[in-house]
Amino acid sequence: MDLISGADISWAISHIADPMVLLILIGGVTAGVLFGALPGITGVAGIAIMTPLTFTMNFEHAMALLLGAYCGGYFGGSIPAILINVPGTPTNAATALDGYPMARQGDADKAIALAVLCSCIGGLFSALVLSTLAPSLAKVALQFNSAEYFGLAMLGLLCVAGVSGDSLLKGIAAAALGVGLSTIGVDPVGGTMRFTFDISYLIAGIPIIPALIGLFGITEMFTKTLEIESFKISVLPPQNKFRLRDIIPIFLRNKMVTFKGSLIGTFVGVLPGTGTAIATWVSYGEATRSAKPGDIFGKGDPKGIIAAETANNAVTGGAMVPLLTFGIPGDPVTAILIAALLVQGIDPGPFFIAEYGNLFIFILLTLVLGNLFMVTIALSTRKLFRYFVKLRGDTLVPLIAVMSAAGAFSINNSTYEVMLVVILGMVGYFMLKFGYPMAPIVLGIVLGPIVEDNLRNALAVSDMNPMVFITRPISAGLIVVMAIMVGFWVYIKKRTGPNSDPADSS
Amino acid sequence: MFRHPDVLAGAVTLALGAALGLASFFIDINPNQTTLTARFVPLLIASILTLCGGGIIINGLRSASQPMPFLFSRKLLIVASFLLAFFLTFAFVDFRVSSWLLMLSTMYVLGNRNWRQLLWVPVAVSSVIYLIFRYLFEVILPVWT
Repeated sequence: MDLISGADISWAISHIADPMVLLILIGGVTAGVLFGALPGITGVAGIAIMTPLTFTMNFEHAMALLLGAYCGGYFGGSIPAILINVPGTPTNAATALDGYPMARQGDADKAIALAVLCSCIGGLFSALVLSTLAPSLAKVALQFNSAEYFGLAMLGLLCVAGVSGDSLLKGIAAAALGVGLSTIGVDPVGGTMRFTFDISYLIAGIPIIPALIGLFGITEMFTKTLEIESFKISVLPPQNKFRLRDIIPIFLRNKMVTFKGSLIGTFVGVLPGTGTAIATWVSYGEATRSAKPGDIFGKGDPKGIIAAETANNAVTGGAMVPLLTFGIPGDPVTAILIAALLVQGIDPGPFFIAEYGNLFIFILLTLVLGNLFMVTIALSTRKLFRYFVKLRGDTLVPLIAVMSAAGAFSINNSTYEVMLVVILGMVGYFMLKFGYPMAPIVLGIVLGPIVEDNLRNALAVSDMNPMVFITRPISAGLIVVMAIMVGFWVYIKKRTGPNSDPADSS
Repeated sequence: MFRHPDVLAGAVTLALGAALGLASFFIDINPNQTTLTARFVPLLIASILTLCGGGIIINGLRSASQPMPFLFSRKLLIVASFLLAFFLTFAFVDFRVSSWLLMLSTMYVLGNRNWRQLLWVPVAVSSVIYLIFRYLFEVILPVWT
């Protein structure tokens, strides 16, 4: 931990204790929980819409809002999954498997309390891992040069392309489209224009935040409009009374499930491009694999919720590791965070912890407090959730549109960003309907410049010798990892037939 | 016309790759550069898109016939046109008015016939969002003065 001094720690503690920061953090957690709890709306869309609001804030306030929403959003998705069996994302589908049967048996309160406490444990565990792993990895990252960064960014793109969609080819095409969009504007090396078509707005390129709002917010809005007629909410039976202290024996009986869920979530989060859906399903799968006689997975077993929710929020700290050590975002939320950090004039990467040790500690403390606030807010207001999830789709659809437009306009007070949101939203909708995932496009836009700059730099310093990517051991290792991954996906594809989904199979 | 959605999706991806590749040749090259030119990555991306498009078409042709995904409903088209009008006129119409109108019309089209909700929800949403952006986040939204 010699990258971080005592002064950094005291700076972070004094700033996190600022009442305004705490207030914004509570606001961020609440907003994240609310966005996640809206049936069919993901926490990612909420964070994308909120990001422009941070442009007028300082670093502490911006991080408090976004990291609060990050923690709250992942848990919030479990609320509609438990209460109305509508998992907003594949991530929360695992929670719905046992959460909804519990709610049908009159134990909705117990299921929600269990979900939020597990989310908190997972989040705190991953923050602990972040605090120990990130400084060590940052030291390793200081040895990296352009060849390694090119390899890492390519690995991130390949991972997200491989695991986030219905087919590897569509995932790769989506990632390529994202990188292609990132090339619009002035070429940073030669200074020539690329794909600007004499439109002055395009000279600066495609800004990431409107792209995120369009690809996640507007795309979801269109999808929801189409589904609105089939969207039915069933009524739960009268609910049992529940005391919070009844939870403790459940945790004591399931210590290993809690630990394994936290570990799996953190580890999956560290891998670039993976995300919460894989973490929760791997953790749930592990819990069912080690089931004991009497376990009733899928019929209202608390173990199912523990496995899914610990892994779910454990991803938050894990996904911050590649962001804060290599400057490589691992999922759409950390892609948003990288954009928010750049707006604050902070370049996340190998020098981040060495240069901004105080901000690193501040981020850690924000994650820890965010998780604790999430528990407090969710437990004290859990009885209100059953009313909130009944918010009608006809209100949600225009609400997303209004907030997306206001958020996009606030970036530069310009209609360019507003139009970009709607255009990318429409493109995203068609792509989604034809099975193209959104996450690789976003990661492509963010990682595109990193890929291109490092590819060109690596070749420039090696007199255009492409062997530079093979002769450097870490770069060669990354290429081998990518080759193994592609080989594995192709093998799975061949074993399971042409129509199967390699991502699902893996 | 297309026996599988992937055939159409692949064809569009392939066409996009071809168009991008063609457009890449119009990018000017700085003769003094000592590394890859500005065309290299766009051409690489165009090649990847073209190859993926071809692969997706082949997958579609090898798969059992499937109907096209359901893309439009009457409601979606109406809501999309409201949304387009809202976004196109965003800078010229008072945010409080345009957001109120979008909320009201979309709620009605999507089937809400509860007149109390139609009365108070659009007013509340447009006012609250305006106040939050204007006074909490100090963002200037378009207003008629």
